[in-house]
Parts: sequence; structure tokens; C-alpha cells
Amino acid sequence: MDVCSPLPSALDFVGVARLTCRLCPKQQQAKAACGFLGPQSPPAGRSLLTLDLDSADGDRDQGTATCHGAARQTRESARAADWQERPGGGSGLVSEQQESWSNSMGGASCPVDEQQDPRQERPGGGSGPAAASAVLDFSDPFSSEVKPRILLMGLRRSGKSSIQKVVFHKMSPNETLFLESTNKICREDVSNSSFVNFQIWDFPGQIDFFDPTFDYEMIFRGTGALIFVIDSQDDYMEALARLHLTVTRAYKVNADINFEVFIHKVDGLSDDHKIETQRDIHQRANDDLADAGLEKIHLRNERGKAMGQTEFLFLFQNSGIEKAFLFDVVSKIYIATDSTPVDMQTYELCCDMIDVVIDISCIYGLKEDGAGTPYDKESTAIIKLNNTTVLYLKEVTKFLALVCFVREESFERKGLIDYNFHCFRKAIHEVFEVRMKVVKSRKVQNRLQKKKGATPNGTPRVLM
Amino acid sequence: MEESDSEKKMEKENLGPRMEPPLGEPEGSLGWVLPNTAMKKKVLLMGKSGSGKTSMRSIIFANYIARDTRRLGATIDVEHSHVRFLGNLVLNLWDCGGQDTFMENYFTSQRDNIFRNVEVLIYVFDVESRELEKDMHYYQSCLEAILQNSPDAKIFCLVHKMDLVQEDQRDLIFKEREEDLRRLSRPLECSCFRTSIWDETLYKAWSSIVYQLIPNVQQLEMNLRNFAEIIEADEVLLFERATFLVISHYQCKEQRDAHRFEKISNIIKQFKLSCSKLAASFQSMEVRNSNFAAFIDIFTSNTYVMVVMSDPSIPSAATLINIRNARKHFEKLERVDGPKQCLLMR
Repeated sequence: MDVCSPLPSALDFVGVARLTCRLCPKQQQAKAACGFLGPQSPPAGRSLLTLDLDSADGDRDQGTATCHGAARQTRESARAADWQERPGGGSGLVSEQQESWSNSMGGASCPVDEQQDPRQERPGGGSGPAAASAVLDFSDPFSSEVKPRILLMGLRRSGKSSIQKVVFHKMSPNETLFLESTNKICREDVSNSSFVNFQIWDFPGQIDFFDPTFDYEMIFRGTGALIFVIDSQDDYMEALARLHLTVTRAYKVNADINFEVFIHKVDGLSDDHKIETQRDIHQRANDDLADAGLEKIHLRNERGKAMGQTEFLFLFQNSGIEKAFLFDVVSKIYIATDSTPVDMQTYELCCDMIDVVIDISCIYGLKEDGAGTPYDKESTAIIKLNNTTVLYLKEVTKFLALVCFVREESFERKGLIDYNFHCFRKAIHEVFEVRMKVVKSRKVQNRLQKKKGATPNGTPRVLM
Repeated sequence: MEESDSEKKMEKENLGPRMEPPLGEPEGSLGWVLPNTAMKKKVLLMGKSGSGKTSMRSIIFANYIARDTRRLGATIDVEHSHVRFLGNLVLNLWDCGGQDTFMENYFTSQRDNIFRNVEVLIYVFDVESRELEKDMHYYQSCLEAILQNSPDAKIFCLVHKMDLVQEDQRDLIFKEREEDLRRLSRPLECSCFRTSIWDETLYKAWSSIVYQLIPNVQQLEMNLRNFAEIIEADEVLLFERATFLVISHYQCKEQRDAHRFEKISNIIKQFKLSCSKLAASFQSMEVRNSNFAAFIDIFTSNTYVMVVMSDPSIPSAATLINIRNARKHFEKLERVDGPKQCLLMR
């Protein structure tokens, strides 16, 4: 990818594009800023988006590497780090939160933002990553597209941080044993490394709702979803009580929040016990909330595997494809599938396949000097099973892959499948391009507004 | 009892059909006394109780996943299993229970029975053991017995359960142990490995062990080299079919990752196990990106091959045809060596 070429499609930007870094003159600075040394070494001490995670296997960090985006992100997370490391206490917490809240609402001066601006003035769309991240910038205070927020709540040791790390940071479940208790609210952005874009707020277990310094109104107002994690191996009566309390409070503030209950750690239970537990919790929770009028409680019980919610129809019958998923490669969440029902085993097999492909590509798929990324434009994989099924994986965008199940006979006509896939891929790219254009124009508008002299909190200034 | 069930299960899985003496000669007749024993290699697996011997064996040879080993119980006395390897090689694995009473027994009344005709001794040390003195004492007794009965045996020491050690201390601790063991083993030579069932180090150790047991490995490597050069591959790996241990490889240029063999073993084995959940197994695999193309396919009746090409312009069909044609050649190689070797032994 050439630096000065016109801006590539939104999802080609940062995230996995190490190549652009090499050509960009700002590279040295970016490297220093993000502390990222190369594909072999994990980011020194911290990953780019979070503060306390070293990926267990240094080789795999390439998926989450960024360059210029990182300069921005690490500064932000550095601020967040200060915020987190300050000694505990109620009052401390509130002021910090308010500060970060006001930042994301376009508040106080954001020194990092200024630094981005000169880059954007460069002709031709500017250096790929920086400009792209500016264009599709979800963390920009002036972006009108505020990232949806997801809250992770639950009792102590129920598994909230583990869930987040395993799903979004490729941590192996074994390593979560070593995770320490979360004692501060940990805010994480899941965007640059993955297709899914949102913020996750990981709460400590013992949250006191009645502590006046904890401003829940503010938190709940901006929240899109609240995930409550219940440890199924523990006595869950207390968890249910807290669930009730949390949900009622949150609902009062913001009736649009989606509530999800994760019944976690079910791998330790036997199958019928699982079902029994699920039913029991479901029943009790619903009874409790019947008077609040909340009926939509969805129950999920997979360890570390959250399922995407959007489904849209697309026709692949002509190619003889039995089942297809559009997967986000990093988090292994599928964002779309066809209309046939999904069963867990198929889904797990696809996840395993993605794992295999990425692992093998990490070993052999990098260039001699370590450049390149394991998952790139040409990534494909074909796995033939002995029950005449063929698993076919093809790259769609930088973060998405199409994984489909094809019958062996249909696979004979691979050329047809490839052609149909090609059309599909083009269509997906067009969809994203449109979206990006919309955001870009909105961005330009905002910038114009800003130039006109809107004050940080939005009130227009009088033009001199 | 659970462990005898698991033992039975493993016995059933490992015992392949007994090898027929070629040319229809009856077994045990004068001309063919040796085939069944000549290609049988006795492998002793010893170590203190609870050090991980049966778990390792289950993972490598019986398709357990690491998590399943939790339900294994203590091994009572010696558990025998026969593992078919590469068609004409049978590993006679003696998993010796490590409890004190058994150990004492091995060195006294069962001494000759256990320690004779041993090809390989694998001694497993638990890195977290608090009785180092005792461990070393038993180890030395083993060595003495080996020296008396099978002085040519190859000795492997596995420092196991390394996942319980902090990552930054692992190298240090392993080096210490290795030095101690080397010193203690004199005049015999031992090779030390650090292992854990939770990562690929297990495969590395067992690959090396098994590599020592393959009779015609040089010839295999030579043929593999020719094959690789003809099809212009970057790297060719040969895996044993059931265990996915790398038995031979050829690379035409330096690769970056020195641990890739065991990593690949681990990756593929895990995938194989997850396929089996769907009651399916994988036959072949092709993975490519803009820099490489890797093909994993069934090769001979006992092996899988992995071919890595770095020239993405070569169409997959070409490589697949090449693999198919090479198959016949390697099959012949495998078949020929068996009886020929036996003839030589006679």
C-alpha cells in the first residue's frame, strides 16, 4: 500500500497495515509513540488499546498492531492509565470519569487531536493510516458517531475481565487464571483491531450503587447494552439480587439499554445441570423484573464466545454452498450468516478453522524480514473433511472473512464459487465505501464548524 | 475402576492389527522369528508418581486433549501399550507407575524383566517436585539398571509441568536441571527437554524421541529432499499419521521460527481433535496468503505431508499433482524397507 495513493477503503486503513508504516516519513515518530518495535516483539508492556495485557504469544500481536492510529490511541490510553493508576477512592473515580466523559463529548482541549490536523492537510488524502483514522475516527471528540458502549457487570470473580480478554484480545482461557481482580472501571476501545466497533467498560465486582460519588446516570445514559455475568458454579442468588438492582436502576435512567445475561463457567457443569441452571436463572430473573416490565432478557452461556446479532439474507444457493458465515477474524464473532439455522458445533468448527489458518499464516505467511501480515488480501483456506464437506475460507476485508461449508461435489465447480464470491466481495466493499463517504462528509462538516469557532462544548462563538 | 477403563480404552485404540510376516510364512517359524520383535522397540516411561507420564502418553498416542487428562488415575504397576508407528514399527510402551512400592519393585524383583532390551528410556521429572533428592535417587537407580541390562539405550529426561513456572524463570530453571541431570547421568548420555501438556513443547520432545527410533530416517530425508527440490518447495515436513509428530523434514532456506515443527504438530492435532467432535476428520488442507501456500495432505498409509511453497504464482493444482505422484514412490519406500531390514537382521 502506497502512502500517497488516494485513501483506500475504510477497512484497509490501520489495524493490520504495517506496510504503510514503512513508507511514511512519520514512521519513526509513530514507532516511538506507540512503542511498537516489530512483529516479533509484543508492544512493550502494553498492547495498544489496553493497559495491562501482554499477549501470551508475541507472534500473534500482529493482528492488533497499528502505527499512526496507535500514536493517538496510546496517548489516550496513557491518559486512561493515569486515570486508572491513581489511588482508589470514590471521589477520585468520579472526577476522572467526568473528565473522560467530557472528552468523548467533545470537551476540553485534546492535545492529540491537534497533532492529527496537520497530517490531514496533506494532499491526496494524507498518509494512509493517519488520515484514515481521522476520517473514520471513532475516538475523535468531534465525531458525531459516538461509539456504542457496552457495560460488563456482575459479582466479583464472575469472569467479566476474562470474557473480554478472551474474546477481544486473543488471550487463551488458561491464562485468564492469572488475571488480577479489576479494581477500577476499565474502559477499552475495540475498534482498530477488529471490525466491531464499540467501547467496553469492565466494572469491578463490588460496585456500590448507593455511593454518591459514583455517577450512574451518566454512565447508563450513554450505554447501548449491559451484560451481566453470573457465575453458574457459584451460588447465584446474590448475583440475581444484584442483577435485579442493576437492571432496575439502569432501566430508570435509560430505557433503551439492551440487557444480556451471561451464565458463565458452564463448562464445569454437566449438560442437564446446564439446562436446569439456565432455566432457573431465567425464571427467577424474569419474575423479579416482571413488575419493572422488562421482558427481554437473553441468555448466553458460552465461555468466551459471544454471538453476533445481525443476520441478513444473501443468496448462495446457486453456488451450492450449504452454510456461510461472515466472521470477524480477530474476535471470531460472526456478524452475518444465511437464513439456515446455526448450530454450535458448526460455529465452533469455523472458529477452529480460523485459528488454524491464522496460526499457520503467522508461521509461514510473513515475508523474510517479518513484514506483511498473516491475514491479508489473498488469504484463503480450503479444508477437506472426510464426510464430503469442504470448508472454504476467503478474505473479504481486512477484518472480515467468509467461511462457508460446501459439498464436495459442488466444490468441483470451484471456479463458479470463486466468481460468485468475487461479486459478493465487491458488493461488501461498496457498502463500506458508502458508509465511509457519509462519515467523511459529516467529518468535513464538523471540521468546518470547528474552524468557524465552535467552542469545545458546542456553543457557537461569535465570529470576529 | 476408572483408570483400568482408561487403560483398556487406550489399549484398544493403540493396538493395531498384528504385523503379518511377509510371504505368507507362518509366524514363529524359523525364517521369521524376528520380524515381529525386530521392529518392536521397547520404550520405558518412568518417573515419580504424578509426574505426568500417563497424561503425556494419552495426549500423544491416544488423542486426548490436555483437559481430558484430568480424569486419569494413578497407574498401577506397569501399563503396556503397543503403538503402531509408520506401519512397520511398533512401539512397545511400558508406562511404569511411579508410586514408591512399585518403584522399589522394579529395581528388585522385576529388574531384568523391565530393564532388558530397552531401546529408549524416558524419565519424567515434575518441575514442582519437593523431593528432588528422592527423584534423583530413583533416577540413578534406573540408570544403574539400564547400564547393566541395556547399555545402548537412549535416555531422555523430560522436565515436565513447565507451565506452572513463571514464564521468565523457565529457561533458568530448565538449564539448572539440565546441568544436574547431565552430570548425574555420566557415563551415559541423556537428552533433556522441557515440556508441558498445555503447549507445543510436548510435541518437540516426543518428536525427537520418536525420531531416534525410526529405522530408515536418513533414506527418508534424502528422498524428501529430492522431492522438495523437484517441486520447488520451501519446506517439506513429514508427519506420522496418528500422532502428528514430525518425523522428517527438509528445508531449502532458513526459516524464521525455530519452533515451528512442534507448533504445527500442535495446531493440526488440535484441529483434528475438534473435527472429531463432529464425527469427522480432516483429509487435506490448503492455506495461502499473498506470501505463501501450504498444503497438508495424506501421503502414505502412515504419514501426512506438508508442503510449503513461497511462490504464490504456482497454482495449487500443480503442487497437488506433484504430491499425488510422489505418494506412490514413498509408499514403495515404506513397504520395501520393512522386510528388507528384517532380512538383514536374520
